[in-house]
Amino acid sequence: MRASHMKLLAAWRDDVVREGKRTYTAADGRIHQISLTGTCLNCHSNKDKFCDRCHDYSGAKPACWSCHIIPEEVR
Amino acid sequence: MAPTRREFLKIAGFSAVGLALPFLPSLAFDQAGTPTAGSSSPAVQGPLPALKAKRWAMTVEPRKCRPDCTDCIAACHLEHNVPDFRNPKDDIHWISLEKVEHVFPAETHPRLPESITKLPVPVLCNHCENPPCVRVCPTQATFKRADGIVMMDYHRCIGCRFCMAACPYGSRSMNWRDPRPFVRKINPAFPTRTKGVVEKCNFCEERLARGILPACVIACKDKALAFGDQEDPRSDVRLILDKCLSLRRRPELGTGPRVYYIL
Amino acid sequence: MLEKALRGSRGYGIWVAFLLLLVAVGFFFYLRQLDYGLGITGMSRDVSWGLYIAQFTFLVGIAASAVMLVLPYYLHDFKAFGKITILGEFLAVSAVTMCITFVFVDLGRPDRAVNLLLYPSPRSVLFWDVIVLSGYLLLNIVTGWTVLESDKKGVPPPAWVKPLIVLSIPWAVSIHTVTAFIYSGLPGRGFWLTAIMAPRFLASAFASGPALLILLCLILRRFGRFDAGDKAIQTLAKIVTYALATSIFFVLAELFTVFYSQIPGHMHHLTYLFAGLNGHHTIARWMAVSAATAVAALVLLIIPRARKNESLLALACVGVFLSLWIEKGLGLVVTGFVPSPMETITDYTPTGPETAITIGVWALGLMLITLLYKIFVSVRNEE
Repeated sequence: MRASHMKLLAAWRDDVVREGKRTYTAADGRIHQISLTGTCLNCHSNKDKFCDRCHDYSGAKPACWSCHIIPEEVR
Repeated sequence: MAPTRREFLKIAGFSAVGLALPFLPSLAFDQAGTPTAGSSSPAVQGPLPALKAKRWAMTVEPRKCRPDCTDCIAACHLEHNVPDFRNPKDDIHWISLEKVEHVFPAETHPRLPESITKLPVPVLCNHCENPPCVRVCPTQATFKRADGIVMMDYHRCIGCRFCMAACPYGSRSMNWRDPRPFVRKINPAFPTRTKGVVEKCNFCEERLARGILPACVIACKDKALAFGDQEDPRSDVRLILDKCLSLRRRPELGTGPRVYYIL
Repeated sequence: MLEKALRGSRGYGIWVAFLLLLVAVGFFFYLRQLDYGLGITGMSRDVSWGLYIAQFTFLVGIAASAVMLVLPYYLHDFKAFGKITILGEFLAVSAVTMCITFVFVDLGRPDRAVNLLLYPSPRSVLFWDVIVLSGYLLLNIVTGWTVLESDKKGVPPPAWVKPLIVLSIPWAVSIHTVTAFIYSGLPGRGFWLTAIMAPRFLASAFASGPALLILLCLILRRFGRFDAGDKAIQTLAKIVTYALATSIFFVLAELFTVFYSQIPGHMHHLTYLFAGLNGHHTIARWMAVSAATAVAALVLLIIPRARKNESLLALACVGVFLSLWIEKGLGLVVTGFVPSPMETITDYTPTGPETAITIGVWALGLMLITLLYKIFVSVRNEE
């Protein structure tokens, strides 16, 4: 996942925006709403630990957060 | 015989290309690449099923608007994190109120009564049947969905503003600056945009997917805005369209607007 | 041959250093633009294309004008142009480079420019413009460089160059036609929605491009120890004359259609452009200068005695270039947006940073011309 999560996010991005397909059915049958802020960050709510730790270390600067809202910052 | 310098460079060049070839596909993360209008969405597992239509449309009855009301604008801009730059140069709006002579210049004449000429007319993206903006977009960042909604893919837009030149209605706005600091109250349920991309009304497609009507329609206390499937004879818009004379903006251009005005 | 650009007289060095300075200043302001956004320019919601796209539009014409040297020589054996077709090709290289740079500088998200290639959109005219411009750039780099290299070696150019050069002739027409189509296919912009947009573009291109070429040849004769020859320069001057006359005729034809038909929507744009509308006069003043200069230049060019006088010819060429720069730049692009679809007037004034960036890109192009022409002259003078 660490290596390929951008592939997943990019595919989901096009699913939602271009195809209007907003749900993802996982292998175990659970259905997720595809939403970076609403779903991913809902559980993985500690962006620092979940996202930034690796990104800061590797020097990756994902552009997601210039548009997608980080829940803690708005509360 | 040892290769000449020229031969060596040729071989090295071909080898480099050959080595790089397997990696090229992974450079473009975007696997999707099917820039066609979206297929109909499966039922959303939320509290309400998604609203679906063959052809979304809106009717606008400016006569019903109470004076000095801007509820539709406030609701839309709040819902979608539309920034307020407070200057006309950088201004971004998805919906706004204009005078009849500006919205219907061809139909305006000096003998129109004041009851008409003073009407505030809400204008927004017309989600055209034959949208010139979609035709000109060089990356298909703006595209038409099967249900008629003209969408913006903010991930793909390069900010060339060809769509703004192509739109006959002035419906589109460019983010000339970073909008985040100018969003009065951020709605966490919807992203903002970055500087450098063009944005416009999206017929609240994200709300339709959750089974609710567009923000402007719900916000209007005077019920001046109706929204529905123009192919469904029992929809709100058809109830109005089947009874009244409706106008569209600049119909002679062949764009096929889906926002109908009842004056 | 590249090393020839690195050696030159003191004047050459000072000129290049000056251009480099302008490029650096432009680049500095471009970084500011990247940081702040395109809002640093004078563009607005109503006038969403401005100085950058205006320069791009004008320069595509200059690039296309190489065909005016290539066609007579390669198709009709007009020997007088034989010495200087490379000058036309190098001018095209510089002009197209400026075009691409101006478009790039105008993008809101230049980091996504590669999307143009990743998501080809054949229904978009801009997609085709990218293709034809890149192709034309490549064509002229290859042909210009190869022919010059053959000159240097004292051998005739390889056989495969000629078909490429002949290809550049229709290709030159195509780059300007496609660029005109960017404007003339938009249903909402009545000012641009005219079938003679492409012919107008070509006419003004064949006036302004050769005019610039004449000026460059005169400069080379004075400072560059290279003489293109009177016959070449005079023939170019005649081309400019006919093209300018055609260009002016096209404008008059537009004026007739609009003002004889008396359709308000169409009249508003041209009134704004030439006379001002509702107190907005800035563009009209610029256009007055453009119109007067064009007519004066045409008079000078039509009179053979004036045309043969080098100083007057130079003056006329400067006039042609300036006049068409105003017309195709400010006149064409900004007026398309005024009045807006809502019939409102929003003025457009370029800002300081915007102007600095524009000058920087022009300096980049002039530097390219200087370097390439220096190589050309050095090679020629060695023979």
